[in-house]
Amino acid sequence: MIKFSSLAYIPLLPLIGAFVLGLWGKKMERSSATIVALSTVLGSFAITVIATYTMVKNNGTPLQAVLWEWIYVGRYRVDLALGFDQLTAALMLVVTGVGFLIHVYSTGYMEEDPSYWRFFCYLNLFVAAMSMLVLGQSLPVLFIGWEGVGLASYLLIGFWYSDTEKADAGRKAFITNRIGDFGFLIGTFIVLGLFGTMDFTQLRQAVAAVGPTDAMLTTGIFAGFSVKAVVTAACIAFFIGVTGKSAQIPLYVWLPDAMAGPTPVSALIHAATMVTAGVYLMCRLGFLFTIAPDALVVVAVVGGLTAVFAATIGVAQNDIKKVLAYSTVSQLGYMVLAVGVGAYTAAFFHLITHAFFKACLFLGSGAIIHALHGEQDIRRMGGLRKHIPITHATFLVSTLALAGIVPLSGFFSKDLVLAFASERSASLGILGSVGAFLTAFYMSRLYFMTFFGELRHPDPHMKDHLHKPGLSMEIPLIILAALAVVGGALNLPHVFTHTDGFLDRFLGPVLGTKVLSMTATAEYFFMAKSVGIAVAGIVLGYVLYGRGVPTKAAESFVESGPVHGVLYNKWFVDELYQNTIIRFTRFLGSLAAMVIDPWIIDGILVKLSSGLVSGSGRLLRKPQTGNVQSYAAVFVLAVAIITGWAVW
Amino acid sequence: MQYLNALTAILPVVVLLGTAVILLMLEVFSLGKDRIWAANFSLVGLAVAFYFAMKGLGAEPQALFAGPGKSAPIIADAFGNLAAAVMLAGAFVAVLLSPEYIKNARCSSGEYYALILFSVVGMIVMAMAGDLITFFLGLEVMSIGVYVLTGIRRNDLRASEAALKYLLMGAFATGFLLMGIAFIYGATGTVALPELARQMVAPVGGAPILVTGLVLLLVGVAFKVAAVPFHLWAPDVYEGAPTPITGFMAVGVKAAAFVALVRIVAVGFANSEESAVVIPFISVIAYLTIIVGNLLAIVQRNVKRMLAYSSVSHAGYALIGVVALARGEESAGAAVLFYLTAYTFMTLGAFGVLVFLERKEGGAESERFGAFAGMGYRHPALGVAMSVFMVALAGMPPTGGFFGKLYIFSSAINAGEMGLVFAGILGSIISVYYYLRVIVSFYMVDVPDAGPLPTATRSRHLTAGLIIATAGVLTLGIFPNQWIELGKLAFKSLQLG
Amino acid sequence: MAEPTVPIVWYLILSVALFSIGGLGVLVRRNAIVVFMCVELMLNAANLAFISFARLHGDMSGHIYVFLVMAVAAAEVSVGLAIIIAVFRTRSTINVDELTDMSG
Repeated sequence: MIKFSSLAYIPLLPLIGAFVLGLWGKKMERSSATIVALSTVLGSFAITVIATYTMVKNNGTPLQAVLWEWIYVGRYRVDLALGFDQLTAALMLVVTGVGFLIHVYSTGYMEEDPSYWRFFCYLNLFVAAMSMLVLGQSLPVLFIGWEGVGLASYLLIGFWYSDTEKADAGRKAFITNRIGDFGFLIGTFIVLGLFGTMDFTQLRQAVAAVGPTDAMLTTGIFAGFSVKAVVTAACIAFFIGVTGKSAQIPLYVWLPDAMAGPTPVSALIHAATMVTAGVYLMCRLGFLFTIAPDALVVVAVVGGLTAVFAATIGVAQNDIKKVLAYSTVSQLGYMVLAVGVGAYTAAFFHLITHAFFKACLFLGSGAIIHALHGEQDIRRMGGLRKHIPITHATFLVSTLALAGIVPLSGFFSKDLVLAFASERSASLGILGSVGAFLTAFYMSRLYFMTFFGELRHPDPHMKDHLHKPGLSMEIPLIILAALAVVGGALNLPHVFTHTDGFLDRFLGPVLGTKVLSMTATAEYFFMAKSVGIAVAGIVLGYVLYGRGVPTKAAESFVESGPVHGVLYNKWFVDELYQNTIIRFTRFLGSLAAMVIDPWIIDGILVKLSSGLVSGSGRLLRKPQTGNVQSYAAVFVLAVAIITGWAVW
Repeated sequence: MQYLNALTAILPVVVLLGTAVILLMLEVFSLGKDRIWAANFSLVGLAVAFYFAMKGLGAEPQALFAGPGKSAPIIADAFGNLAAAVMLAGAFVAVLLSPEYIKNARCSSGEYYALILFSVVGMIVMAMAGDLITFFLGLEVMSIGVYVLTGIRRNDLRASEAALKYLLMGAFATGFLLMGIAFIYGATGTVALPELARQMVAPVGGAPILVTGLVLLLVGVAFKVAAVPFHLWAPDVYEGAPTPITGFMAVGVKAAAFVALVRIVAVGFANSEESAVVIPFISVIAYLTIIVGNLLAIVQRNVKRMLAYSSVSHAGYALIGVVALARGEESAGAAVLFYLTAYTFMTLGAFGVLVFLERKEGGAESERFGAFAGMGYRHPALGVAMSVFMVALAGMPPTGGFFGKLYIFSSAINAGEMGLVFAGILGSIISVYYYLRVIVSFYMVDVPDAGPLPTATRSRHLTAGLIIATAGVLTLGIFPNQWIELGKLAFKSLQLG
Repeated sequence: MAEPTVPIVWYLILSVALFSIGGLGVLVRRNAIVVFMCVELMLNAANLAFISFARLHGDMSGHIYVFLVMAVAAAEVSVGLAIIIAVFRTRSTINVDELTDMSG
């Protein structure tokens, strides 16, 4: 560990920015608000780069900064400590780097919003909380960030709070995440009870010191269970937290609704960074998940199912942001799947490339929506290729990257995940491939309907007064698209270079190394298969939507009909939740209102206990007569009793 | 000459005495009517004394004013200085709250501030007392000042009644305390704490006399901290006293008595079989105080009186720490100090908000829950501050109140006092009800027209006092470890001396 | 010096008796001044105990303590009488039974 106290400034700078904007933003000039918001995030990025450099120069020794000693109770100690190792470096560069680009983009996108300052206040707050989450050296510190990003996300989804639907979406995100947070806390308590520490470094040592995991514990609160069983329970609890934050089945429902927020928010929070916090958590606790293989099976299956399930819904959506949202859920599924098969580096690789191309896609969709004065329905788009060429080019590149076309970044990362998945189990591989095909298909559908054919907007004059994106919006798009192209170089496959990929080597000390066991030939064949699947999806998309409007076949099969009905309505999951869980809760509520409340709670608990409390209160008031001599009498009586008791 | 040198070790006391005497002299010339200058002057004195107390933290423990072959009556060590710093901070905030109240209640008199300073001198003497007689002297210096302050609104019915009740009960309890000290002196032949510890290890003759003495001594302290069943005076006195003085009493008197108790238990009762007989007695008082204090707080309609009972219940939580300490759990000493610090800020803060809201005419009406309806909307900053204080008093994070309880309870668990911890948690749960009720009445109920509002005269002193209190509560919640480490260090100095 | 003619324990009994009389007076007398005087009686009982114990231990400090206590008691009395006068001015009575504005 090397002391590097400047780490504190990574979350502190944006926090100060949020503070300044929150207090004085309203009175500030727009330009000075912009300077505050951008400079603080750029500062964080710069410190992250310096910290990464320092760490690499010291042969990868992690950096540490103890801000202050926080809670010392008995043998439990929690410092407010930040750590910086390879895993942190990789994610922090993404968070502050992509975060900065999105800040730049937002200056253009939010130009006309009256609450410009408030938007940047929340955005800075988000960057601060996310940095805290990633830098946190122990579970409680990570949890501060975990809650902080949840809060920022809630505030930003409901940014246009005067619109009830949007405010509701914010609330849905908040409540769903609370369920996940509960899992996180349970996991933390189990870990604390088992290992007596919440610090990642110490936990890693404690886990390494555990002997055979099947042995029964004889002491502590978990006596009678095996280490494996307890760790599995903890991992499942953490995974519940992950399904909330990283939008996996069954808690993914909030993410599509979260698209109600401004588009840069969707790009930053709901695509590139916050939603990957769950994947980050599992990578951070990889050493724990590794000794709980049963939990990993659950993780892998949920990830694979989410990948396919969300992709099917994406096929039938007409809102450009909804398509991208389901795509995000699906891609997060791939990352979780990778963690589930123990390929942590592959998961992280996909996390990074996804951050590039999905942020680019969201910002591109933002540019499109901006151009069309707020129109989000792809059925009313078309032909935009000619009008906003730079957006089109970047969008195309990112779409191909997401579909997994060689040699763009998405190809490498997704192929690696799929290869590991199919090595683990054939059915996981098939799930992944189906998802990949669907991804290629819905993305080409989206692309062709948006950019090809003629503009179908109901306002015939729209074509003439399109809102062309300015430089502040185009430059981030270009940078992100470039990253989406070259991002694959971060981890070139072994068969290409005959050496481990860069990320494999970089993250190895934290995440361990896992290599494919298939032969080179098999690997080439596998890649060809992946590309073939992607091309097939795109070709199908071109055949059905190549003219910018659905062909007859597409119209009758994808755009209407029973399959469409199911997919368009998102497999009726919201309705399912509505009719089961929510209705059941309501039923419980009304049961409570009619039976439990008046009889049990009100009658027995409240009346009895409040009667007891206020009754004893009234009784105890009796000596409080106000007469000083009666006070003295009670005094003497008490002294007599106590002295008598003490002496005899 | 030797005594003059000794004075440099207790500079906080010297500074306070000097400031108070000068204040009284200047009062003769009646400089100005509002006497803001007096408040400012005492603030300066308190600040300088605070500086010297903090400086004294690093110094070696010094035994002062010892006669030849006798033990020292005053021990200036880190513990005494830290306790002094806490009480000085409390007095500082209490003085900041005063000008606004004095203006509204029209009870301007210059000796007000001098009396506060004199009381603080008594408190510091209690915290540094090396023997029981010095402790008694400090206690009386403190108490006499507070008796007068309670009744300083001479023409107010409630204030003069409160003063008389406090005086009579206080003097009555002093009689028991003094008799206790006499018995201890009789049984052991000494009143010096270290000597007492030695004497009580050897089997002493006349054990009943010693035990009676110890019990009476503890009764005297229990009276000062308003522990049940010796608390009956407290609500009446707290209600009748001027609000800043109520805060000062609830905080300073209690802190001084607890600090002295910690020193007596840690030094005087160290390794003593004889003194162990009083532990169950402290336990019972702690149980009663927590339960009764909280139950009575619930049924109150007057916020000031509710806060009085709340301060009774907080004495109970601190007593848990004393029991743990008496059981030999050393972390409890620092825990009690931490608790008292947090308690000082949150209680004074709550009374400060009360000062702000009381109507010009005063009277019980302006202190009812209903009178606060919608205040959170009308004075947003005040609402936030009051919420912080109530949340802290209820013991919720991220405030000093939470960590205070955490440290107390964890030291009690280490000492094996699970029953007390359970009672403490139960009491905390009950307390959430009436603390939240204040917040609710601040925010939830909005009365369209609550009549002529307290003319929100923005007194700079009051604002500063509230800011200091809020900052104190939150700082202790965010950086708890620094303060508890300081407490542990101070507690160690106690065992060196 | 000859042996004390009166055993120490008798002084102690006297002291405890005085203390009890004082305490009883506080409980039953109605006039605030008399109540207050009874408190002073209790303090003096404690003083007597101090002196007897000092004699028992042959330790002079006990005598000094008594002087300290007397000084404190004097201060307390002056403040006490002032407060009683203040009460009398506002209510025209010093009957402690009638001082019950605040209760509960």
